[in-house]
This record gives sequence, structure tokens and C-alpha cells, in this order.
Amino acid sequence: MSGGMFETAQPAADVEQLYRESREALTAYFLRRHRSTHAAEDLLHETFLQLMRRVDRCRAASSPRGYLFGIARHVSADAWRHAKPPGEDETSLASVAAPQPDPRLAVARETIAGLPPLQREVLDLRFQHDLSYAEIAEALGVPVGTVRSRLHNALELLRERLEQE
Amino acid sequence: MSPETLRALLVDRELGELAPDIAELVDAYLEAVPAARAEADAMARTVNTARETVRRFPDLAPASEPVAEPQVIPIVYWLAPWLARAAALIAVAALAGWLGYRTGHTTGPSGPMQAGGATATRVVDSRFKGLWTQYQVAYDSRRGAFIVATQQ
Repeated sequence: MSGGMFETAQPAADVEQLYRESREALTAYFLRRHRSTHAAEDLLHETFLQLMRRVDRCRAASSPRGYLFGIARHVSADAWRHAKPPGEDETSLASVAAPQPDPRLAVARETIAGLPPLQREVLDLRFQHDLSYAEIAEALGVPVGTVRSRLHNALELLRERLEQE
Repeated sequence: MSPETLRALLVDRELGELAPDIAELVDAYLEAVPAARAEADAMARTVNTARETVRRFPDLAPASEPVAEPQVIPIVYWLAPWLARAAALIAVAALAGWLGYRTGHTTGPSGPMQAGGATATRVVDSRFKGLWTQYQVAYDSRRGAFIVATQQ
């Protein structure tokens, strides 16, 4: 997604296009964190409502998609602060994982679970949501170098653990 | 190239985050150095494992409130401990000075004093006023005695 779209299109068209392009990714983002389809839909709508209030800021951001994920991150945090336990329904992701035949995955899972939350978040945004370094930096409000170093440190530790096995 | 630099470049390369010209240089380096090629393959396996793990296990996503980013602490807060120590020293010095003043103010005349083998005589001299001029000491060589003037 380029910044040129926001320079010439009307605000409603900008938001509509960004919604179409990001809807699936944001739904997956909320599903992973809230384990509920209903919660994910509500939070997705809330995210775009907030985006519509900040269209100018989104235009000024180096990465509109990253900015949108930043909004989603705060919307998700607000939802948790209101102390709703993660909803469980028939479409929840509570037990997606089948028994893994690959022992490397078990080691990797344990290693990643033990990482600091800031590193896990970067891994999630990169490998699950395919955000670039710049987009992750925009979403988290940190420099690109910070994103890079967190990712490198996480992968370095993971590699050491995998080589020990 | 240091091992740390190489590993960082390999991660960026694997994730497609290198600029094209730098990616070209790294590729050329990997072709020329077999050990670096092995490192690249190992890093690729690690990245693929990480990707597969993160996608397969959604519970790995941080589900709670985002951890606040470390804030850059303004220099004032860096200096705060030292400012506090300086303030404490000044307070102690001021308290010691006040106690000394109070001690001198409430202590009565003690009569002739012995100092260094010579007799000291206490006299009253109203010229001296103020906290730091409670006592004035002078040596009278004619009498061979110290004279202590006090504020009254």
C-alpha cells in the first residue's frame, strides 16, 4: 500500500480500500488474541471507526497499514482492560494445534513462549500478519532498528535452542 | 565481516528486508564463502521454523495488554538521585550549623579556659553579631593568654 492513494482519493474511498485490503489480516489478528469470532468482528469495526476519526494521521504515517495495526493493537488492549474473559465459541482457536509430529516445533513453541512479550509481538506481526519492519515499527511506535534488533535476538535464541536439540 | 553482522544480514535477507543492491552483495559473499553459505541455510531453517510455529500456535500471540514501550527517561530524571544526595548533604550541613549555633547560644560562660598551656579569658564584646561571630579568639602575647570574645 502506498502513500499516493491517500494523497489523491477521497477519505471514504481511502478507508474503504484499506478496509478491504486489511480486513482479513485484522480479523486474524483479533482472533488470535481474543479467541472469539464475535469479539474479533466487534473489534474490527471499532478499529475502522477509530481510523475514520484519524484519517489525516493515517495519511501522514509512513505506513498506513502499520498505522492501522497500531490502532488495532490499542483497541485490543482496551478490550482486555475492560476485563472480558476471552470468549469461547465453536469457531474459537483455543485448540487449533494438532499433535505436532515435528519435535522442532515443540522446541520452537516452548522457546517462543518464553520470550519477552515485546519480542513475541514482533514475531507475531512479522510471521503471522506479514508486516514489514517499517509497518511493525509504525504499529508499535518504535524505530525500525528496534524492530530489527528484537527480531534478530528472538531468532538468534531460537536458533541456539534448535541446534541444542 | 563479524559473525553478528553476518547473522543480522542473513535474517534481513531471509525476510526480504534488504535493499536490492545490498542483497546482491550478500549473495555474492555467500557464494564466495562456503561457511557463510552454511550459516545462511541454518538461518533459513530457523526463520521457517519460527514462521510455522507462530502460525500453528495462536496462543503464542501476546494476548494481554500491550507491554508499554520503554520510555526514554529525560536527563532530569537521570540527575534526580544525585540532586537528592546533594540536597540531603545541604540539609545535614544546615542542621549541623543550626545545632552548633544553638549549642553555642545556650551554653553559658565557662570562666577561664585552658588552651595550649596558656590561660584563656572570656570577655564580652558587643561588636560581634551574627551566627558566625558567636566567638572571636585572639592571643594576647603580653599576657600570654587567649582572649575569647563572645556576642552578648
